[in-house]
Amino acid sequence: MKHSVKQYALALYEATVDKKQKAIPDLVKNFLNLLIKNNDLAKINEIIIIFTNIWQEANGQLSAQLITKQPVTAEVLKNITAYVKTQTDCQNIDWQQSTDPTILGGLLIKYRDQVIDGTIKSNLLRLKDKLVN
Amino acid sequence: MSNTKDFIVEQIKQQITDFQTTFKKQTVGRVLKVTDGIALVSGLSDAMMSEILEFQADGQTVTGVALNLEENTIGVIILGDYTIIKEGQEVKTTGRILEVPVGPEIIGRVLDALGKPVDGQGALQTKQYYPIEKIAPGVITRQSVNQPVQTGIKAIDSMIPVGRGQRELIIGDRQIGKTAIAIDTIINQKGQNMKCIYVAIGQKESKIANITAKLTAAGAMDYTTIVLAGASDPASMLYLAPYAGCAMAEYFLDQGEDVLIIYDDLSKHANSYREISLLLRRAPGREAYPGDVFYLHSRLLERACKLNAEYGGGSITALPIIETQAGDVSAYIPTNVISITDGQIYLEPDLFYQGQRPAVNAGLSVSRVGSDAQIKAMKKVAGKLRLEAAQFRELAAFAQFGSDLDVDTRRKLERGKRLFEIFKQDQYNPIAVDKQVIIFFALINGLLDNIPVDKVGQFETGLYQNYEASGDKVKQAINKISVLDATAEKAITNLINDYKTGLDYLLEDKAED
Repeated sequence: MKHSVKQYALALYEATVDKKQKAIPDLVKNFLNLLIKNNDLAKINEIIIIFTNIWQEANGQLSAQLITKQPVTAEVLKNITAYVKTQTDCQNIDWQQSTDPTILGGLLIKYRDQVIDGTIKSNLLRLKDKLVN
Repeated sequence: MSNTKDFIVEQIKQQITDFQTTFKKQTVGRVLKVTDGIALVSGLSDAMMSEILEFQADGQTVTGVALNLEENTIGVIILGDYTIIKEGQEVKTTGRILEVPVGPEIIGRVLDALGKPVDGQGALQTKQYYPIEKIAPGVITRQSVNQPVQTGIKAIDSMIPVGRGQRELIIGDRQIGKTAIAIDTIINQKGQNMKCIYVAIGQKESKIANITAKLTAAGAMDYTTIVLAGASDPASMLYLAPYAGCAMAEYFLDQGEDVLIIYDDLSKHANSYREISLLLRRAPGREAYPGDVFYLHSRLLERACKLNAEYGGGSITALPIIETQAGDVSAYIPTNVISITDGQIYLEPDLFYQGQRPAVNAGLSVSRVGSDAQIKAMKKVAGKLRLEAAQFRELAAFAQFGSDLDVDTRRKLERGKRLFEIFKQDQYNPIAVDKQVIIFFALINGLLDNIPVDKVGQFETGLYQNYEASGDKVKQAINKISVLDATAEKAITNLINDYKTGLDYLLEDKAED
């Protein structure tokens, strides 16, 4: 029977979640052996990505991207973090910040498959659309 | 400075001051794979079935429809130019189910499968949208068929009558006059309080241009809309076109009006759905069609209905067309659609090449509910026609071997020949029901027996002209008294005998006896 990447990741998570640190290397080894036996070792990269997501979700963690025109101050980041917390159930947010001058201002937040678009650029494009039509 | 300019400036100023900046959350996915008209998208965990998705491609927006919702990916059919979509591009949900513009404004227009005008007559000013997929009306809202659709084709109106709300399949090989029947029917709906929608699926655009011109010339575009998914359009458009046409018809249905919708043709529709399904990697079944190809057509044709007075009393009559290959009606799609519809009009190549046009095969064609809807006068004259036609065919095959036939057989043969002569009819020349009643009355009462077979057509034309000129007396007798009573019968007999007196080609009475 074929197993999906998600099923593998979930199985790995559930097998390891309550175990002691010492037991984990053996479990991972068993898991790899299982993958080899099922001829599914090629899926390992995808499994790692999904496993990370599952683990983060279960621990209230979220990795999010923040794109602004200029680097933001700690104060602003705190406010943004507070806002994103209200949108998700996650308590710890792991920010990856980057700057992009083409957005002209405002900010763009990306996490999971959500995008919160508050950039001047997209608002201007919308205004343009409205004026043209 | 002109006031106009100030006005424009004011308007723009207003729009700018009223503009609200937004800060909204959106679900975004990424294109994993693009093939012919199909994209595989990751993410979009909250996408709905048949939701409109937007691809952001090189500054342009291309729309698509979610068709496959899987564990990690979504299969999307792309509506538009899929060549500019690339792997990794963003896809957004819109929260809207696929819908088309509806309203009285669509009458007289040629639209594509998404309701965009393609006739170059400017934008549509409709106010309403209807979803293209809708569950068919339930049993509580329905009523049995009780009003006729006059197709104007003698062979059909007499033997295979169609009622408002019925689904009557037109089936036959290529180039045999399937579309011609549909177009004649549309032309004949003038003044019959009927809206018509012609859905062209995978047809040549030249053919559609032709049809549009013909309908315009006949004044039929005043109540007709054409939904066009041409041969060069992607399969997704062909797949959506009949549902879009049906949604437009449902608008008129909801206004309590009668609608005639023609799907030309559902074989190509099934082919386009097969293409989409195979590209979406759904499992192929018989003839490589997916498992739900029956549901594809049944859910479409089930939307044809006759609603009862409580629900507006409107109706949608569907005339789906199926093209067979070499007369094979036992292929997958033809058998499916035959079983869904309330009867079929079977067109036969042999008849067509013998010059019997429209080439309706009276034996294989049936109408399961239409006879309830026939007007009484027609019912009375047409009652015996099927039997007469069937007997003639049997005898004709038999009579080829022997020449020595008894009087009764010869009489039946002669009458059958005249009957099939009457069934012949030119294209774009539908005949009103009262005229049909007269000619069939003449036939079953033996009034045509002394007209030579090759003169029947000429006699018919002359008789109609005479009838037109005869004034209201006879017309009232037939139209007002829908039951063909003795007075009306006498009026018709007199009309025919009067016309006959001026003819020089009559056979001598009882010459054969």
